[in-house]
Amino acid sequence: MLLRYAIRRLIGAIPTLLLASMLVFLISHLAPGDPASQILGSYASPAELEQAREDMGLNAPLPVQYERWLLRAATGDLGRSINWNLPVSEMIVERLPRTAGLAVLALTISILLGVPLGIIAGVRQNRLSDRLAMLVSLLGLSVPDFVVGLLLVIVFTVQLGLLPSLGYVSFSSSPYQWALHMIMPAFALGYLMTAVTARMTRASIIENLGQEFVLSARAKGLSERRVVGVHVLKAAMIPVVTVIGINLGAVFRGAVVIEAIFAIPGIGGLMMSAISARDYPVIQGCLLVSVTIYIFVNLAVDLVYAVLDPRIRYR
Amino acid sequence: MTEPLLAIENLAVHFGTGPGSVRAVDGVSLTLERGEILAVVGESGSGKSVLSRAILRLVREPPGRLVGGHIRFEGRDIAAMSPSELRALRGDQISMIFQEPMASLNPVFTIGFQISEALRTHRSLSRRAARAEAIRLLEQVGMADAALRYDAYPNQISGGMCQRAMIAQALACRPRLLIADEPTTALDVTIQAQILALLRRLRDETHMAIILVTHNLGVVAEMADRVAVMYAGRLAEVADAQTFFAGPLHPYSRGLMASVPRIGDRVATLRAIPGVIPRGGAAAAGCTFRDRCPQAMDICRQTPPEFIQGGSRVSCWLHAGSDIAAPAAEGAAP
Ligand SMILES: Nc1ncnc2c1ncn2[C@@H]1O[C@H](COP(=O)(O)OP(=O)(O)O)[C@@H](O)[C@H]1O
Ligand SMILES: [Mg+2]
Repeated sequence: MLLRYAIRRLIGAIPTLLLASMLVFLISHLAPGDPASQILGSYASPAELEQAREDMGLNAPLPVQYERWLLRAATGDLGRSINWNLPVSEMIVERLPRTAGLAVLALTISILLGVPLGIIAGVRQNRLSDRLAMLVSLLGLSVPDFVVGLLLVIVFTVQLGLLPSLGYVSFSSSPYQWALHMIMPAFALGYLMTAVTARMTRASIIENLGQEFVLSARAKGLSERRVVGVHVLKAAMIPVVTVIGINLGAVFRGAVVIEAIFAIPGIGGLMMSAISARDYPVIQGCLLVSVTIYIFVNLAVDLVYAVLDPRIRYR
Repeated sequence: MTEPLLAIENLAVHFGTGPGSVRAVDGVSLTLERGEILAVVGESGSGKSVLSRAILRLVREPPGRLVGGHIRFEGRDIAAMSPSELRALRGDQISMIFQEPMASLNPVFTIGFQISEALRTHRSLSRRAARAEAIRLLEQVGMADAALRYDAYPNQISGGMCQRAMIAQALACRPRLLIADEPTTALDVTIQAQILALLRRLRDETHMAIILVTHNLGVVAEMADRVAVMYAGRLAEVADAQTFFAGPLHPYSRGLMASVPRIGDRVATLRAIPGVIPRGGAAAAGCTFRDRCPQAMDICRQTPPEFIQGGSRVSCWLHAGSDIAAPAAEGAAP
């Protein structure tokens, strides 16, 4: 049943992917600026420009260009960077793990901190620990992540000298150094999501604690720990998973800023330089990869959702 | 005379404190024999649910508060039990089913899981043994394709089937008392009759006692050995079902009868009796029903009545001159 649902959702994702790819293609083609003149510089003759356009396939009708581009992209060929003269896919493959690592770490922090915090606050509703947790999370919602990042640098690098503030060490060369360099950016990035996750968890726990099945779970002699930790928690996790999914989308956006602050050479930085250089193949490649990741992440979230909530699979 | 299965003495459960507090249960005394079906009737808001939950100490504190009284079950006072003693009691010796069967089951676990869980909480059973026993229980409560239904989620079966699953779960550890709080109110008429017949059959087979909460006198006539009429947190009348239907003593009971709900009526309301139930339960002095009573007298404003007439216990000054019921004693036993 679950497998059939998964396959159905996977097939359902295809039109979304196509539409997204079309948008990515159009955005970069409707934007001002001529790639040919960018490559050849402003002193190229009209004939040279025309020749370059012909070579790059820019004279073909848009649908044809789109088709060629998409077919090549499907085989992993995202073209060549105009600015750096490197294959786009190589550039992305080099940088993606850094951004993904940062995002996954930030998300993990937000789940490992936010969910337990929300549970405690929800169970101890309106008592001191709840109010304290909610106050901290309200701060999380109101302080921008780059401010948190700068604060962390000031405390842990400048004052205490405990953590490196800049740079990146790959996980494969030294997991320890990687973690040391990533912990502050990940925390700065995960802080807001921790707050959102905690608040959602709390609200959902409180809502489910008021359900009738809680009364009947108590009536059959279950311990309070089991009532909350098994019955309420599983039912309460459904909206929390949605929020985590939304966070996953937002985390890539936030990563762009955080990467800049902590000098992590990820996708965000690449995209920024590509935009200022009007390097369309790179912009397209980055967008296409991000959108694809986003769509598959959402798909995965929906599947987790279906595992948690039996009502979904049979709708 | 042997000790009753359950003896409630002067039970009081309030919500909130101070002048705004609600006396949801206000000095209720009742006994229940083994294998007996006692119906608790009364209009909505009279405290039936709070009373039935209080027996298992399931009223949350706060906002509720067990103000006083005893709940003796086979001689042990539930009102004085520790949390772990309560857990051992709940679902094992006393079980409970509720008005909304669909909402009473956790939507994200299979019904089989939930029944097995009840078994494994109180008995050391392997997963497989619990599964086999749960399927047997589902068969016992008349669930077709029990082995298949074991893996169904509550939303995949009907409300009536959910109530059967709830009953199977309640029966899992062969309790000596089942508390059923309006178990059929949310169900269709035909399903309602089936569930009631099932409860009666189970009583006959297992000799467990049942407290059946309802606001439907048709259900009472069908099911009960004894009737307790509840009004504003107090018992207006406790009588044998036969005696009661032959001639109820309390004016409130008579009003109930006059509204003649038949089995199948979903909302048997008491519009026949003018006025509304006083919120906040009883005023300290006098009879709680006096403002709606067609036969109210001066004395009704002063002292709460409590008399025994024949085998019945009635809280009404019209029956002054009968025996005076000793406070906190059970008057219904002949
Ligand atoms: N959680 C609660 N908080 C405050 N008052 C409550 C609560 N539960 C029940 N009550 C009050 O207790 C009284 C009896 O309610 P209840 O036992 O549910 O009535 P019944 O089941 O007979 O319809 C009502 O006046 C209701 O307002
Ligand atoms: Mg009720």
